[in-house]
Amino acid sequence: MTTHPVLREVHISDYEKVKSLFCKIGMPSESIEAWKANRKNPALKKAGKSFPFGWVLEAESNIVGYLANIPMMYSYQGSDVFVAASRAYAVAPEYKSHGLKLALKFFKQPEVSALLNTTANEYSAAVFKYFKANPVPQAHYNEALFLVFNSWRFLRAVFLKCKFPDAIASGVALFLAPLFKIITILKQKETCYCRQDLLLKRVCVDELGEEFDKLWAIKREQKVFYTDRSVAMLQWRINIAPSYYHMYGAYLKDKFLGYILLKIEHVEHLKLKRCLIIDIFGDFKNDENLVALVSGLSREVKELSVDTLEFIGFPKAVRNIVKRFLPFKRIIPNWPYFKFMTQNLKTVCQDSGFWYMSLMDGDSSL
Amino acid sequence: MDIQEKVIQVLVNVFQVSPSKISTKTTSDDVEKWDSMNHINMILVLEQEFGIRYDEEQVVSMLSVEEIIDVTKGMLGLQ
Repeated sequence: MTTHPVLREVHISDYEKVKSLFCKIGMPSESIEAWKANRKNPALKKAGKSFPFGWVLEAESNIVGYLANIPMMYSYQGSDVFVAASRAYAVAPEYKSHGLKLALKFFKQPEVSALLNTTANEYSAAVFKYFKANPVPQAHYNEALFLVFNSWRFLRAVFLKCKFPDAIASGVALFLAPLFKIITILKQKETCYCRQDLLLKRVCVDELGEEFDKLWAIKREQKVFYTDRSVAMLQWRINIAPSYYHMYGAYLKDKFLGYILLKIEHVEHLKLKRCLIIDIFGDFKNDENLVALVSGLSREVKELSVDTLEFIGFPKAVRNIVKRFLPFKRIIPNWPYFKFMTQNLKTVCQDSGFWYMSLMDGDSSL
Repeated sequence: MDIQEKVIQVLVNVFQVSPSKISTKTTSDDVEKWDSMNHINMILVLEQEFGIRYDEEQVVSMLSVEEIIDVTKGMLGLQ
């Protein structure tokens, strides 16, 4: 019979024990650098509040349960909104029935205006639903759109996902790749669209100019729920793992329009190198500019030798632009969930176009 | 059927165990499928069965049949 675990706030000194817990249940653990970085999150400075970075269940000097709590700042019509996002839920099998105690702490934390969970899985969906949270109000968030740049590696990943042995997956993919390549060329021919006056320039995250803050100052006044895109926040987020991120500024005749943020991911079990669009943010003036930017982006991404380029989230207007490139689609089985604690947010979140949601939200890209 | 019998029946259905495996002495440690997810399923079924809504604080402490019966009786004003 197991002893009743004690629930308490997590401390940085718990790192090794939490890592052991993740190892025990076969989940990848965060680095100590990520833990330390979270404690320097700019959202904390802005909020000026003491904030729990998560909770643990402790039994017999071991950590047997963990849930991380990420502070995030949002804006709506110029007002700051302090949000907590859940992350990295883990409970040892012998204490599996005690996991809800961690969830209750998350839902009962004071001083936050909203709670968010972007770890889309069956368990978190059930918990969030029970605590009266709702799926994020953005149509088609669960439909990922993607372009394919390496037919063989993509097809191999598909067969590996279907549990084919590696050798067979590689062989069948090699056989089918030429045909698939023709299909992708025909489908994705619009990626050749090019404009001389519209440029994407790679930008270094430590040298983001004041045009980024000016853009954020304008956008945060809008009647849209945006996660903080100030320079301080962008730099904090990217510098957690800078080698994975690529940022491009978009310029129309040298005038700054906005930026695109990418993250490269190695999906080890599928042997796939994919590129995720974390954010497309700016005032792009018209659809044609955005078409040219996405087209330019796909060319830049090919240079990074990635196998796929994936879009998740974004409002309908942006998704419709991406759809002009005839992407492939895959369905993400579960939705992110949110819960607003203040009445004014509960009311306005019903509006269509309320939330400009991308992988910048929650812990999706951390 | 009294409250105890109904609670045990719910647990039998949710955790897919034989009725002989569930008694008033049973705790979450004794039931293999009693994890957080099934705990929520159990709570939802109990709430529907008895027409009540448990307090969230109570929900996390209902980790034994005895505790579930006590809390449910309390909610129904039977204690």
